[in-house]
Amino acid sequence: MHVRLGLFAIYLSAYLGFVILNAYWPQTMELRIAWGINLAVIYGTSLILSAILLAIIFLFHRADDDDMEGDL
Amino acid sequence: MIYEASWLTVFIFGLFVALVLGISFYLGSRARSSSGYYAAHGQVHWFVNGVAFAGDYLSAASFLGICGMIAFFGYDGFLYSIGYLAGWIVALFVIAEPLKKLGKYTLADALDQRFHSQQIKMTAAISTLVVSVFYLIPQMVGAGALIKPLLGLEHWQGVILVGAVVTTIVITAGMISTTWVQFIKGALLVLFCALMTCGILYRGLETRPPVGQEQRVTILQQADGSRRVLINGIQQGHGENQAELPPAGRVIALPNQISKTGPLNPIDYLRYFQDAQIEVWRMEKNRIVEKTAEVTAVTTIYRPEIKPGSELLVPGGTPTFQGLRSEDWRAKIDFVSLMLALFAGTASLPHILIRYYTVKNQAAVRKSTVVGIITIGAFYLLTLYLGLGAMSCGALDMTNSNMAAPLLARTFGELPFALISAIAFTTVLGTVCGLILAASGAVVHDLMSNYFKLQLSDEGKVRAGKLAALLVGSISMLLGIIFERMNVTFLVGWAFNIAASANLPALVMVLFWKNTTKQGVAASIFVGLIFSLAWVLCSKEAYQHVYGWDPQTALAPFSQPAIVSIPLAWTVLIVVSKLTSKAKHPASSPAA
Repeated sequence: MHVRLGLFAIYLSAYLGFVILNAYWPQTMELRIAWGINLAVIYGTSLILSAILLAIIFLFHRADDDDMEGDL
Repeated sequence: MIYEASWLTVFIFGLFVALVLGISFYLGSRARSSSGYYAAHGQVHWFVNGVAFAGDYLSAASFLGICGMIAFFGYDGFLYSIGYLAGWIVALFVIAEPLKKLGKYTLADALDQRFHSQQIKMTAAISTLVVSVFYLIPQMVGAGALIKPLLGLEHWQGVILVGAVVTTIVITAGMISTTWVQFIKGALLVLFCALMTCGILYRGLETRPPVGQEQRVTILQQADGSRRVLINGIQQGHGENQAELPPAGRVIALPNQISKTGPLNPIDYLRYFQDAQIEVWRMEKNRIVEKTAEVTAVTTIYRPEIKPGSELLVPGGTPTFQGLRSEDWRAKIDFVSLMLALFAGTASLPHILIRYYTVKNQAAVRKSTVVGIITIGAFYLLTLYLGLGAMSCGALDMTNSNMAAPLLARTFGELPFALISAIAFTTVLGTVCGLILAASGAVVHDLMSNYFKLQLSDEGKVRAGKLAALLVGSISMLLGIIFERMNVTFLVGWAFNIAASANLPALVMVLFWKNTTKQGVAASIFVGLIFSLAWVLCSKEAYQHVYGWDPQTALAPFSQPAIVSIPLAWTVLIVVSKLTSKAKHPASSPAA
């Protein structure tokens, strides 16, 4: 359960950061931060890649642990 | 633009649709009971179900709408990609597994499992119906947009064709065949988009001379009902003394004065694009309307603008998100609200929820959700390249953003065009099937047999479901014709708002809060649904595109209700639950 919440919290804060930056500090999105590419593109694609990564981590973590079965 | 059908495209397209229908008839003949019709007997393999998630989710809106939005306005479409995927994290970590434990076929089953309440059945079924229909509208609009260049049909004919095929699939088959259709389509869509992205990167960027001049499109509606289109005052057509719109989407200049980059890697492609100059088209807000006794002429003006790539690769390009770069607080809240709706809406979409019941157990639910996230995430990464590829392909129709992806495919030849259109068409078919199925499940299972207590035999349930499918299909065809002019992604955003407001608070609280009462759940669904629906219908987009009223007079302060309606529904649930649980156990309070 802790891993589940932890992974969720990591993603949620990254997503929130993206939304807030875009809404209130939109100029930051123009900064070219790596490989000459701007923050908007880097942050956006990283959000998609990290969702895939977190899902895979979760799958492997849960493979040997089935604590959700049985409660509720 | 005028579109002419080619025999090759029609042939491949026909073959594809026939294949899909064949599969669905074959599999449909094996599902006789109602659990087979609505939940595929719970026996679908997790991998197939996972890719079918992608099939369900990557609707016409994802494919046509996002590509079109990026192709016309740049980065803003990608915001939808990010938000649509983010919602799956909620589904995976919060909703999926606990939900699998509760229900049988539908959202109402799951919510009502603890309570056996008539109100919950009723409100949950209605919310499923409303969300399904709202999600169906953009699918139908997308279908019309696809059929136009493919078969040279009018928008309304396309909508009716799709509606008819889909309703046939659902009526003949149900969940098993829908799942297989979704699996095939999800896999093919991601595969072909990957191939097309390779093609875009291999081709690189190339400069073209700008069009430079504004274009006027006039639609003449004669009193006898006939219709003519003029381009800059000249009859539209390919013949002599006829005119056609110039193909749009041109790169005007590349960095270092080169005219062609040659093959690029994914990072270099973005870097070159960022430093290029692109010609984009903006529609004048006000149309010119001239009326005489015989004829009404409506003229729309399209103006070219040359923009640096760096400006197109940051948010704020579309009219919807323009305010992000201003100091207007409403625009900022609107944006935050949309991103919240996308995040919270996915996990509460009825056609996604029913897919949790097609597999055996919670482990299978988890695995298929992860497969779904990988497939869907890969697709959304590609949308950026597909959109930018379309923006620079020199073959777009400036009057219709929903057409960008198929027209991009056409620049690679007639065969890719036929294949991509056929896949996109099955995309629409598949998603619509899932939605109609979810809606018909709500009508028959939740309303007829559980709420009104009609005694239906198992066979009767299936028959009633098919009848409901026919009805829902027809309603959405009609609405698909009315909503033709709206970008389909924007419409889907509304469906997410409504789903998130009506269903998510109830779902999460039923799963995780012991003090939830049946009155709380029913009140929360009811308030969330009515409030978000009313808000959307009072927004400036609805005023402008649907009723044709002045958008300045719209009642809703901003377009996306989620940021108000989700907390509202949540509060209603908590307050009503507190009130009703106290009333039930008055004796227990003094001890505390």
